Amino acid sequence: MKTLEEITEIFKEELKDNSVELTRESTAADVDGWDSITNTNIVYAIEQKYSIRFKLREILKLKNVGDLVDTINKKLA
Amino acid sequence: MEFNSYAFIILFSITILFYNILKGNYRKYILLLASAVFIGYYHLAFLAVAIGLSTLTYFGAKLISCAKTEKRQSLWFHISVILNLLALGGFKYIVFIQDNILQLIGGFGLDLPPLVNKVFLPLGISFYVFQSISYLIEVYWEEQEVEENYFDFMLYMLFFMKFISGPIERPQDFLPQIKSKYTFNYYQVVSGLQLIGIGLFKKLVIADRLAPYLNDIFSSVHNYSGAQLVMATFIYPIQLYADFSGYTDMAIGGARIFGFELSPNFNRPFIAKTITDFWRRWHMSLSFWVRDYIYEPLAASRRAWRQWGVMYALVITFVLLGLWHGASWNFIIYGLIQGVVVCYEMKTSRIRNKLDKRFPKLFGIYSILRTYIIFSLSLLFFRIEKFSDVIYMFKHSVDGISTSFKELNLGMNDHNIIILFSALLLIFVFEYFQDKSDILSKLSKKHIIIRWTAYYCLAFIILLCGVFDSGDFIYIQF
Repeated sequence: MKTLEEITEIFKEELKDNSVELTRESTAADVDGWDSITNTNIVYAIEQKYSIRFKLREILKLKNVGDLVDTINKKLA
Repeated sequence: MEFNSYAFIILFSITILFYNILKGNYRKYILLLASAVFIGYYHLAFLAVAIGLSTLTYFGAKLISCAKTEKRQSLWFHISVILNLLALGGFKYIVFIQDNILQLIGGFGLDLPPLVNKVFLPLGISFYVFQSISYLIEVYWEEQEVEENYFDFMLYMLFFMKFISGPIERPQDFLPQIKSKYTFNYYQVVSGLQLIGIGLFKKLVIADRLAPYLNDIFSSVHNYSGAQLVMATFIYPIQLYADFSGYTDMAIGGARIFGFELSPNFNRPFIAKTITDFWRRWHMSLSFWVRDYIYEPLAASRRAWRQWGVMYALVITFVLLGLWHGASWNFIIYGLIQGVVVCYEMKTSRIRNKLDKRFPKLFGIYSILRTYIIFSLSLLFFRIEKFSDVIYMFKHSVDGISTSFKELNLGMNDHNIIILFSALLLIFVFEYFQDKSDILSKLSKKHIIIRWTAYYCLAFIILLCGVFDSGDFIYIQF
């Protein structure tokens, strides 16, 4: 839950939109402004925040916010 | 064998007849046979190349999935993709690459004769090589199970309703449909026939009516006044859209009659407010392909560069998208323009969003017009072979400002203009309502008198206003 809240803040910051609300099921289609262009910056901001590094395949495999949260938690574990 | 030719109608009818008479796997074989006849009808060599490359991909993917180590997987993946690209490059780009190298060497005083003068371009190669690569990547990324059945895989590659000009299908969308059991569905067949009707309307009434006038202008730009050149520039996107989306409607409609759902290729592109949005609506199966397999890996690998990494990936992706259309610098410039504009839009998105919120209607109309104008201008590089002719068009667009209204009609008589204008209005209004409330499926459930009145009207308009001595579909050349 904590990770979800934290990445919601990152999304707000990167998309310059304070109304962003994320659930584990959220996909790019549900969030205004989250597209293939902004996604790269979001991923990089997450890497900086948690001092982790995603593999290329991990980024390309992400299907929704739940996948993203799980991948982050796995790396932090 | 064009979709609007008698040969195709005969092949399609025989195939649909046997497809419904036969059972089980024989249905697939009849589709494969029809696909082989369709491709081989153009040239047997086209069929041989398509079968050869598809077989190579089939075994390449098997080797990837059987490999015991990641290193081996990567090796087979790269070999298979490179062989596909070499085939595409060898047939499509070799003369262009050679000519540029010779020109470069010529600059240093070395005058070498060309080794290759002309190579035949196998039909549909740009489309099915991309399908091959898509399949290999998905298997390599472990997103797609390797296909064990050779005939199913060949049908994914060669299915005749999408062979010449797409849509470029993804294995995860198409292969499961081959495996699923076919049952005759009346509404699906009706829906397929409706789409074929719409496609014929776009192609025969709009695209082919415009084609001779625009072909004349673009093949001899020096003979026309500036106002006529400007007119042709802004009308060409309409011809291209009617031609390619007409083809796509027929492809999707024809496939639907066999129970297959192909990917959409167009989603009302001319209402796009940005070029970025435009590419999510225009030739979608290609733009989503380059997004997923070129842009995203490139952007992700350069994410530490932040916005510069995104821009780097965007420009390379769009240049490659342009180059996919053909081996010429004009196609590269066409792609480059899209890439640069998308980068510009990325950098200015905040101010655009602000203006959009403040003046939604006015800014919306401005944005739609701006997008259309940018795309029209970039299309000159797509349409005209000679770079010097494109520059001529830009330089002379303000010549003959005093041109009479009569000249602006590009040589079309009033009868043609009225038909074109009415047909365009009809299509745009239809697309608006189709998008809003799927009027086609509603129509198929209406009373028989209403339905058949609509169908007879469409058929009557096509027969009365269609141009039947038309040429090829524009995208067949790619």
